[in-house]
Amino acid sequence: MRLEKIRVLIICGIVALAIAIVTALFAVIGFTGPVRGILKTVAKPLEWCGTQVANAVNGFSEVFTDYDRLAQENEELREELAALKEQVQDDTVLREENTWLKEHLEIADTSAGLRLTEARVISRAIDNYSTVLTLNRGTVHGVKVNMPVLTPDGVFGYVKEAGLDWCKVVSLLETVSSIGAYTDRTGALGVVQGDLALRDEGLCLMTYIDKNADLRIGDRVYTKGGEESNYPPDLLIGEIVSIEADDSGLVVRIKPAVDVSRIDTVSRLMIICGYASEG
Amino acid sequence: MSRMRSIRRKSRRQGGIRPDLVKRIVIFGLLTLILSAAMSSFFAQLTCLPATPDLMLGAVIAIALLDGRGSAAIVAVAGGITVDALGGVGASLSPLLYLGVVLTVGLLGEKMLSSFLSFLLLLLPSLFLRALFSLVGIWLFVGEITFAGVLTGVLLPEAISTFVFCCPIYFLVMLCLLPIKDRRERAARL
Repeated sequence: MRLEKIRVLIICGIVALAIAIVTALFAVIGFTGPVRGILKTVAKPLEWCGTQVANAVNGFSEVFTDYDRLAQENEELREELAALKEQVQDDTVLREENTWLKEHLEIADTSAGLRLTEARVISRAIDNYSTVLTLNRGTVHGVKVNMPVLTPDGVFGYVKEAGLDWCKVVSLLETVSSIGAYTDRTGALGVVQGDLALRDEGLCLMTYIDKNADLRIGDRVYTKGGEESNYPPDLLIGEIVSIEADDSGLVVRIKPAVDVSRIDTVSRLMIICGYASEG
Repeated sequence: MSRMRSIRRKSRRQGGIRPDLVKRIVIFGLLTLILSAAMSSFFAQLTCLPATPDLMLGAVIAIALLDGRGSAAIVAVAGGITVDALGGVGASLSPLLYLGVVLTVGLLGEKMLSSFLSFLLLLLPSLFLRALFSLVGIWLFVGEITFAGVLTGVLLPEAISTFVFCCPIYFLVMLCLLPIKDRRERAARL
């Protein structure tokens, strides 16, 4: 009996080791194993239910945990409402509708020719050290690995893995993420990268900047695009919040336009499945 | 070839696949899927939690204590694959972690009773193993790390969260084993 138990353990050990090696090789060549795809598809309804419940709980707990922030937001909204009331009454409905539409069409306005696929979050990474989301769009919807992901506010990240009807998206706060970028005021070039130390603060770094570059706090940073980049040009990444100089050059911290921590199932994410200059 | 034939003969003599084995596969399979889905969706999205708890860790220890190391080893591998499929990126290393937990339970829990207290005692070294695993994961996939930052930012919140949410898992596994154990006990009585 004891021998049989040991045999089971040894067999399981060999299987676990084989799985680790095979999946590591798959990860290196960028292939998603069929088991992962099947499990993900089977568990999708369960994950959807879990996410809905989590959203409901979050909404309820926000009343207590974020009371101050909500109170301030409420005050701001009251003031905004009062200001709006002063405007011409006939225009109010049209104005609101226009603002709402503008928010959602901003990307299409500024970066014409993007082919966007709308997606929603169904789950998150469980490892506690990476901001990886699973979205409800996959290869059947035309999604491929390395495609950029946006929100109406700006760049979120890129597709790391794509399954049949799901994909895993890595945020720009991760160390594996790097985007060629430029600043709006002076056109200074650099690379926006994730940094472990800054990730908890919701910031990332801009590196490889010319030492004499003219940068200021508040400068906006956009994607540079180009043939070697997966990102189309002129998409908002964020703005500069601090500039320091050390031996290696300038250390610039960027606050992404997208608040990664507040992305949930209600948030609208868009995957860029193609753009005009890509051909 | 002859070995295969003898296994088949033995299986036929025993009346094919045992119903309690099928029951166990279905119950543990569902438990694995539900726990993994809960981890990657519900617990991973709760903003009031400091970290996502590793519920599968509790399930593996509970199964090892209540149903045996053999069952726990199989659940460890299947659970590890499912957890990584739903909530992981890249290589699937969780089966190795959970198998390590089963081995730990095997070594330390040999003379322990199948009680909740034993479960809690065995959860502590398993959490240490989990922390080591996370540390290796961060070092491999994130790169440069400061130990103090990782300890306060990832390891401690993860351990506390896992400890708290794993406690009910023991009773959930106990509940799941009721149909299997009842049948086995009835058969033994007959």
